[in-house]
Amino acid sequence: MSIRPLPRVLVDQIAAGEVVERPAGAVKELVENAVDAGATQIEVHIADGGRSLVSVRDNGLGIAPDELGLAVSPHATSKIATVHDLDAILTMGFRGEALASIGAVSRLTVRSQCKSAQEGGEIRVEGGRMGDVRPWSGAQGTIVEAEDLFHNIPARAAFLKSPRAEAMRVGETLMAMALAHPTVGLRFVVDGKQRFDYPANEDTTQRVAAVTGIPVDALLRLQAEEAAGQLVGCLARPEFARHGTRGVHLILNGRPILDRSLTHAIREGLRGLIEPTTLPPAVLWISVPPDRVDVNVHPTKSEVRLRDGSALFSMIRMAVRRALDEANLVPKMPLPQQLDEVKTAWPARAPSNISPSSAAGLETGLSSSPTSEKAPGFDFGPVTRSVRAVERILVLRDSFLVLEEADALVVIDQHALHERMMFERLKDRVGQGELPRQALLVPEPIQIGAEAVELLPQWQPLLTRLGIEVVELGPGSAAVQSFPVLLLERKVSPGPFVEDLLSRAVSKHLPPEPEAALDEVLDMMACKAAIKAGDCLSDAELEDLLAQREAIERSTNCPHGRPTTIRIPVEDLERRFHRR
Amino acid sequence: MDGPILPVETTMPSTATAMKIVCDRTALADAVSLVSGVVAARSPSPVLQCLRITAGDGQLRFSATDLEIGVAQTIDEVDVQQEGEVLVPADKLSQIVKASDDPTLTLEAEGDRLRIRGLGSNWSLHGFPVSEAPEVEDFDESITADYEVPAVILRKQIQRTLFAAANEQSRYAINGVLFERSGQTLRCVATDGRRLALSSCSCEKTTDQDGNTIVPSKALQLLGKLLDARAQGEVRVSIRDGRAHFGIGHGSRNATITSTLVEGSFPPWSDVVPKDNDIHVTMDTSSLAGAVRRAALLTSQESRGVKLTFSAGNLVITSRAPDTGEAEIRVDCNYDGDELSIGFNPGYLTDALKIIDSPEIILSLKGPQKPGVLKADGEFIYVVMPVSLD
Ligand SMILES: Nc1ncnc2c1ncn2[C@@H]1O[C@H](COP(=O)(O)OP(=O)(O)O)[C@@H](O)[C@H]1O
Ligand SMILES: [Mg+2]
Repeated sequence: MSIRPLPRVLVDQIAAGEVVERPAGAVKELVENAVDAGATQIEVHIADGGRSLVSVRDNGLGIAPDELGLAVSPHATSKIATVHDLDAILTMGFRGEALASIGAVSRLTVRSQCKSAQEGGEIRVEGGRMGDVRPWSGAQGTIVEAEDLFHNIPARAAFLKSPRAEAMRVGETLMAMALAHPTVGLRFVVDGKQRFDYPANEDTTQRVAAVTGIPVDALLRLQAEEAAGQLVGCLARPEFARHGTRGVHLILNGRPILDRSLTHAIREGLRGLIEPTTLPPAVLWISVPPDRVDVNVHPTKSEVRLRDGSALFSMIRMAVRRALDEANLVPKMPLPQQLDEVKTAWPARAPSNISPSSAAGLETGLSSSPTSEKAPGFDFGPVTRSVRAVERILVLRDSFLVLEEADALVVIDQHALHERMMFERLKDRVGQGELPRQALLVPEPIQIGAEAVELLPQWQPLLTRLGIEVVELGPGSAAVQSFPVLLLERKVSPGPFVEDLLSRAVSKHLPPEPEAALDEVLDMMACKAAIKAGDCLSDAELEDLLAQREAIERSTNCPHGRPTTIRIPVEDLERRFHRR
Repeated sequence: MDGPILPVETTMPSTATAMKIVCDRTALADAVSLVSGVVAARSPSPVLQCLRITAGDGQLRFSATDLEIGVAQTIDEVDVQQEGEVLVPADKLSQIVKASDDPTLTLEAEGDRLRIRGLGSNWSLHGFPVSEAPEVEDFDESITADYEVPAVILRKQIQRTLFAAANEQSRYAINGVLFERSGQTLRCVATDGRRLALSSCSCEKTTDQDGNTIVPSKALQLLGKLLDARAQGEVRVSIRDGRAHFGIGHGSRNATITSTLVEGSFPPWSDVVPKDNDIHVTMDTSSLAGAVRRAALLTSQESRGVKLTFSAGNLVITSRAPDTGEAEIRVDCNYDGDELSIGFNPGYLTDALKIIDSPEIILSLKGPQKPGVLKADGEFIYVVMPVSLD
């Protein structure tokens, strides 16, 4: 065995994996470059979820033709000239890797017209190999196009979600960038259709309102200035609070970051006005001296290490408190009500999965039924719908769960959904090996008739896989000796279940080949094990069920196609009330 | 005079059932909550959701029934000013008595209504004619009990077995606890088909006839609660006319629970308790319980099982939940044989370990597919069937 250096291309591909995990990562890097180049107008196009095309066009400074080659080379950057600059510029996380990384995993073209140069230039990079610089002419600025992303890394390509889901991520990323750079014009086009167009030089509050969908007059302004840093921001009124923290955007020195502690500072400021697991949408622009922050914690730069964390924490908390005081919100806000005792009174329940991807009204409505012509909630256009308080679940007759989605009322049949969940679980488990079985203290005698007893040897291998052991006692009688743990946990009685199963086999209600009957037997199990209409679910069961809803609804294994969910779009309601 | 709920008529014809008492509220609350435990949550007949209160002989008697189980209890923390009876909804009465903060309450029957007065509160509760209430027997003192068990012991017998009784329907009569008396020994046995709990005690024999009785779980739950409150003296047990009768206390502080019996046959428990388990491990009860509980954190519904692997001086309990993770917990023990692994539902183990009050238990095994047996203080035996684990 010999140790050899990795080929360059491979190194770049590895680096690319860190920088661009998916189209949204590439878009983020390219838009950051455009912003760094002083662009005031940026346009992003993607096609096929970004897989076949990601294109970012800006009106920034541009790249001189003789620098194009350098721009797409690894570790080349115009942004750090001397080590002396390093401290001041680390904030921005420049590492000179983005273009090279993207070039390593796509067919990359960079076209640019530089302000100072007479003529523009174009360079192509394919699979990490750089072409020659050719002349090109166009308006001042740069167009970066990455085609066929990950075409040479099948493993990474396979990891991508559906085009719709990837487009959604790109949209989320861009919305976060639109908040980070509120004065830059940003337009987003997916497969030729415009998703949004935020104008340049917009008022920041206007921008926040446009991106989050929260009306301007529901946004409170935050402001603070201290030695540790400066803060300006917008905070939605507490009634807009929703579960999770995805509505919170922290922008540190011009870059979106994630920081639990600073997010928590907002929550602390709101203490008593919101439920502890919720937060209203907020956008905070924080600036700190560049030498007080470390950015290189992670290549994607979203987590940072702050040197004055606790000073910033209290600055934010106080600023939130002040804004609430000024808006006279502190005394007026009702405290969270205690409705949990009466189920039909819309108890506040908000399993995390159904909270929208961001408080900004970017609902991920993936569960829309195939019948609705357009997928509501998947619209990146400026959202005008106001965002309501926490999602709530109504439990109707202990049978139906009624919940609110972006633009629809959703009704779930708890038995049908749970049955499918059980089916998926059982199917998955059987794929891994025999179902775990519990031995019975006293074998449970069953009356099945001689014909069924004769079938036993033929069925035993399947039964064993399913965790069922039956012993023959004599002609026409047998006893259940072991039964699947899962079914016992779900209070299914062994005797009647096995009798039913074998009598179906005898009456040819099941395929004669036991293996072919697997799905149907699993379906029987799922049906018996599922919660019934009329069963009162605990909060934990309810959350578990809803948490798996999306995955269950997308799977197609279910042997019978009964619906589990009905969506009633708001338009339908409006029509029925003659509002349309 | 205006009551907060209903205007109360001041001129009531005095009837035979008129009753007036002043009662200590805490004693009242305890009795009401205990006796109303029998009342069915959903009953077609409103009368079956009622509590009957009878004032007489300087005591107050509360009784209720769901037609299968009857509970009656007397208290003497009461000043009976006028004897009489009333039949009122149990849940409302219970709520009122609990919500009140007066030290004493005055209860006055006016026809089918019960007026309850505290210092500033005044309720008038609609009831039903007492004649509609089904009779609830008291323990018949004229009949000699079949046997007697000290209240504390019977309470322990219930505590050690009731948890193992089946909740779901089964072909065997296991929705209750078997009371098997032979001579001076009372054995209580319960099983749900996967584990079996057996607790023995000695009893004072008063008749010669041995007997087997299966008492429904609900009756024993009520009896357990009653014994929690009044664990003194002897409990008299009598089985006759297809019912079990439990008599607790005497005179003005007595209580009776009667119950139908579970019909059908209890599984032959003595065949189920293995006699040839030859591996015996002695373990500290609380360390085993703690270890099982810790391992159980990572089990899932479809493979509710922990694996116990014994090797010299050592027990390792492992678990695995496919999407969540794995656990491995180590406990010291005096095992000295070849390595042996066996799977159990951790819930079944902790159920039993919870109620064992002796510091050490003995776990007896035969092999991975064979039932395990937990024994404590010579009177408690718990058989638990293994779970297959891959
Ligand atoms: N849109 C753009 N406009 C002008 N210059 C650009 C643009 N994109 C990239 N560049 C130039 O290419 C260099 C390399 O870009 P990149 O690989 O993203 O590294 P970094 O941004 O970390 O320097 C940048 O330093 C910059 O000089
Ligand atoms: Mg860059």
